[in-house]
Amino acid sequence: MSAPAGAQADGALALPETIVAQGPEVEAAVRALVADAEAREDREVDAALDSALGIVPRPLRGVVRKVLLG
Amino acid sequence: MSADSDHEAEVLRLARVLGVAPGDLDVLDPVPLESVRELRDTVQDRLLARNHDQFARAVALADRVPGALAAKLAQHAMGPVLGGRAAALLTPAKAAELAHRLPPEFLAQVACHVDLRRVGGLLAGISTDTMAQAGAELRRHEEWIVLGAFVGYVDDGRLATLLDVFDGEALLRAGFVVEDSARLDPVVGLLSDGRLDELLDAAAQHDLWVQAAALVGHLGPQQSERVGRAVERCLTPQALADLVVQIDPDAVAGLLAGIGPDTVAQAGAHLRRRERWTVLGAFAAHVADENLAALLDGFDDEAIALTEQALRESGRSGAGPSLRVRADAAARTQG
Repeated sequence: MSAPAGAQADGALALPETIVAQGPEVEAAVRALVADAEAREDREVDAALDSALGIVPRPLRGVVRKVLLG
Repeated sequence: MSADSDHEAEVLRLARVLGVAPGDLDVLDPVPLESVRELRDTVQDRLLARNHDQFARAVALADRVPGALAAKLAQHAMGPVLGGRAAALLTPAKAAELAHRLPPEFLAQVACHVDLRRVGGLLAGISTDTMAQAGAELRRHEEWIVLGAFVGYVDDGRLATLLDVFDGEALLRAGFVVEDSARLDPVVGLLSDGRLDELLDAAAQHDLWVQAAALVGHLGPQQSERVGRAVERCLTPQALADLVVQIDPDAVAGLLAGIGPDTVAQAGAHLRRRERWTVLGAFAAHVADENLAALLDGFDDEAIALTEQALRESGRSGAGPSLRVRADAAARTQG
């Protein structure tokens, strides 16, 4: 297994060295796919919060809002 | 499982995590399997960490509301992708309760998105019945790679029951893409002789001989021998000869290793009568040495020479001893 390359303290994605070795286009394509997945997750999490508040019975919404949103 | 199918399965797993079609990952074709797997693990870790607080709150909510409502929220608010991700933060007790309340169709969808490194330990608390129902859904949707991944996380005792859910075709297709190939030997050990016959019937019916042989390649001597006996029960020597003519004998080598001398001799006789010397050469390469004498018994000198020549020309024998020498040596050892 190749060692992670380019691991950075700011949380940037550390890709396996063998992927980086495929060239900048491949590396950029993979980074873009991961960024898309992260953005999609953010949207889905937001939508799930909204959806959850719509599902719970009205008397429980306060508790649910407090737990989910802190 | 072949290197190609290993890679294809790993790309499919990564595609699931990224939420893209496997074709979007064609750029990873030249990347080694281990690196694709490493990338999947990295991305799964990032996606869990990215919204960890929200997932933790959702899990905490499941403890604060009635179980039925928690299940409803999991299914209709979070859905299978986020639900699968958040499952990593559940306690075993909560996972078991939710699994019991959720419909098998949804659990099967969640199973496609969980990180088994993190939730594998939760499976022990989920009832066998619930797992069987979700497994049946996965089979219905032909999720062979997901089924193959779970095999590594279910103990033998439960697998013995769960295997009953799956027909021969499902066992072959999921077995071919099992992630932890070391599990194949104990899993085959859990199957009765009747079920092994069912596997081979499925191989014949769905043209899955290569998958069956690849699976046998991961078995120890005892289970290989059982499969060999199943081959003898399910295939006449002529059908076996037809099989090795139809499919490259190298590809079905695993199935040939465990068959006995009588079947070897009769299948060899069919090939000899048809003068399929190239196939015979490959067949002889995969026959156990102790069965070579039986194979060669009915051959005249010319037939042996032609078989030997085919074996040499195929490059399988290398500088090794001749078939007759191998057969004689095996006979001496046995004698």
